[in-house]
This record gives sequence, C-alpha cells and structure tokens, in this order.
Amino acid sequence: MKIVSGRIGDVEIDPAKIITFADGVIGFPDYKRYIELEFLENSPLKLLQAVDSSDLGFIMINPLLFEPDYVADITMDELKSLNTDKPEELTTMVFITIPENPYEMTANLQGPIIISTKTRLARQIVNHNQKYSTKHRIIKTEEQPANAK
Amino acid sequence: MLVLTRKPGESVTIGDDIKITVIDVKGRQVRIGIEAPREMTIHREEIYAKIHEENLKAAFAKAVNMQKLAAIFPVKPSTESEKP
Repeated sequence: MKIVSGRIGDVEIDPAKIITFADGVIGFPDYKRYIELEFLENSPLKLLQAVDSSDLGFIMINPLLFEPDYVADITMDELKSLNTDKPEELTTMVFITIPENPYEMTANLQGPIIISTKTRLARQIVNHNQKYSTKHRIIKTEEQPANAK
Repeated sequence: MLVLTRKPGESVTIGDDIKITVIDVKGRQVRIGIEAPREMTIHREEIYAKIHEENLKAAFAKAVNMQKLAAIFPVKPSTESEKP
C-alpha cells in the first residue's frame, strides 16, 4: 500500500509490517499505526512514520548502539499488552530529537519504544531507572568537527 | 478540576473501574493507592509530561539537514565508558 511521509515523500509499504500502538505514543493517542522506514543509507537511524498522518514521524535508534547496558524495565502488564510473554521477541528503540546542530542530537532514554517483532504490537513506556533522561546526548563533544555548525 | 477533601482511608471513584484511596498523610506527603484496569497506565504526572514534551520536539523537528546527518555516521556513537 502507498503512504506519504512528510520527510521522504511517497513510499510503498507492506501492510503486514505495520506496527500497532494500542494507545499511540505518549501525546499522540489517536495515531496507532506506524511503519519503520529507512531514510538514510547505511545509518542506524530509522524513521518511524505514522501510516495515517504524513506529518507525524519520529527518528529512532537502537539505544544499545551507544548505551550497551541500557535496559528498559517493562512490567508484566505492559508485556501482556503486547501479546507476548517472551522478552527475547522484543526490540527496544528510542526517539531522537535532532536540533539545528545535528551533532547535538539527544535520545529519549526515559521513554523507550518497545516493539514485539512477532505480534507487531508496540508501546512507549516510562523507564523508571533514575539514571536515564529524556535528553541523552548521543555524541560526545570532542567528536564533533570544529566547524560542525 | 474537581476538588474533594478526603481523610486517610477514604476514596474517590472515577467511572466504574477506577478507585483512588488516600492511604496516609505524613507531613506534606500524601500516599495514594490506585485501583484501575491493568491496561491503564498510571504515572507520576511530571514524568509523563516530560516524555510528552520530548515526543513533541522529536516529532516536529524542523527539516533535518540530511547531508549533515549522513556525515555523522559512520562516526560511531560513543559509550560513556570505554571497556577494555
């Protein structure tokens, strides 16, 4: 089926790959269907595009790429709501906020997205571990080129 | 906002499925018990609000400069501590 993404234009998608958020993501309860798209070649960044709204999309990344010890504490009830009882079927991703200077991009480690690879159900949860913030800097300052701006 | 005054041990009900009970009060802190259907999520408001706000920023980010983004990878996102 064809959908429109505000960021990358017309895209042909496989409806079987649609990810369903029963409650939407926090703040957007009415949009429940999303699809994961590649939007940058050879990049760990993915676009989570709302199927029913071309303007609504999030850039997301697997937090293990920069926080190898990251654990999203999902409760039994949250697990049940994804129709799975196997934690190994879950993928955790986090939304990224990209400011004017992309080297300053931050990941929301406090509100991870949990996706069941088997049922294609997903939800955004609150990670109660105090050490994680909503604005985690992914790239260390010293790695930025001198003329990043 | 509906404001009610309750003593410890007293409750309010919301609809048929939600009950909120004041457990006890110690100084300026109130302990609240909540009974609600399992599929309903319950959070401290300030945390929920923070995530909501960050989602809004992430969703409506201005058109990202794709070339700048592409230049960042394959710079490897770094970890806090370098493990041997």
